[in-house]
Amino acid sequence: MGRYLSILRRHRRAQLVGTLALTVMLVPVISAAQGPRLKLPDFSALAQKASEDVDISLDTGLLGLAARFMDADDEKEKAVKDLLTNLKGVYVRSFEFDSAGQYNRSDLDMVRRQFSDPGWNRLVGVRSRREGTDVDVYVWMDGKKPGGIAVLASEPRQLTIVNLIGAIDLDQLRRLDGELGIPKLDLERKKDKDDQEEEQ
Amino acid sequence: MKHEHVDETNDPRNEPRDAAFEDALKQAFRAEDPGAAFTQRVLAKAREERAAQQSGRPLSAAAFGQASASVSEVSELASSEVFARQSIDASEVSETRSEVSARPPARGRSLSATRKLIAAIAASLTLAAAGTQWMQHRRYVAEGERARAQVMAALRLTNEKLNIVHDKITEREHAR
Repeated sequence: MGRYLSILRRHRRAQLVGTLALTVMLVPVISAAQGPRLKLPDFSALAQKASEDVDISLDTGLLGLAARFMDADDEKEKAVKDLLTNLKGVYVRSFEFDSAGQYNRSDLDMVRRQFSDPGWNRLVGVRSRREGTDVDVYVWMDGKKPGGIAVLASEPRQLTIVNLIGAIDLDQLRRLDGELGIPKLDLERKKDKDDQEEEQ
Repeated sequence: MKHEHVDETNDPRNEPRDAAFEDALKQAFRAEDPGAAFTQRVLAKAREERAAQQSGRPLSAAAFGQASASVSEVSELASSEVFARQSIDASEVSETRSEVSARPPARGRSLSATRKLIAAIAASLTLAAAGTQWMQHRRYVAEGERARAQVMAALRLTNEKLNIVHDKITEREHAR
């Protein structure tokens, strides 16, 4: 009887060790699997306060469908269609308020924490205390290629989170200059200067 | 005034009158040969009717009229009221038969009705399929247009925020 119990205990211990080992092995796999897609929190409280609420969630299938409905004869739409071929997802949450101070910076904390995951790099960020504007641009790198970008913009009366997934070519985005009013951004060069300025 | 009830059933004076009435009835209902010609005519009509039924062709109203006339002829042979009544029934039957014969043949009519039913079902199915297809296409177009509008809105919003970054960086450059 005693021998039987000891075998049973040993078996249970082995099971426990196995489960722990599996968990330890799976943690990095799970975190890496999160990839460039941000987990956006439930902003229902903010949505109730907002005068305008934008919630866009487009996966690969819907982006393909959208691309089919782009007018190939229209230069602007043709450029967007070209951009869409590399996109795998477009997720946007934006709130516009009638007055300032309707949200806290902490509302974005859960989103900001995700940028500490490996893969995410802060590309550029601007802050204006006078205007109360804070915009950060992050890039998720898939090896040496960008696999997604995220833009966090908090303004006095507007809060916006943009998450574009896919091999986004920043040059291609720049080529949309004039088409969607996207400016020519020399982001990498500016980023270095900006960082130096912040350090000073 | 005293009313006397008279029972006529047992009145011996009635007996000769009853006997005469019975004789008259016997005379009227006696069997009489209608003649060979009549038999021939009846058989001929019966054959004609059978042939018409086998070919699916309706019997002409004239033929039925003749048949009923033959029956009337039989009725003329009897002078009693009962026989006359039978003759009226026979002519009613012949009228009903002529009405039936005026309709298209039953088999042909049922075939035609089946074809009409199949055609109606086929038309309904085609319409339903076309309707479903059209609804699906409309839904597809609506989804596509909505996705397109969302993409444009998302890119416009992204552009707007990138513009803020660009403006700030440009401002700093000019300030130096």
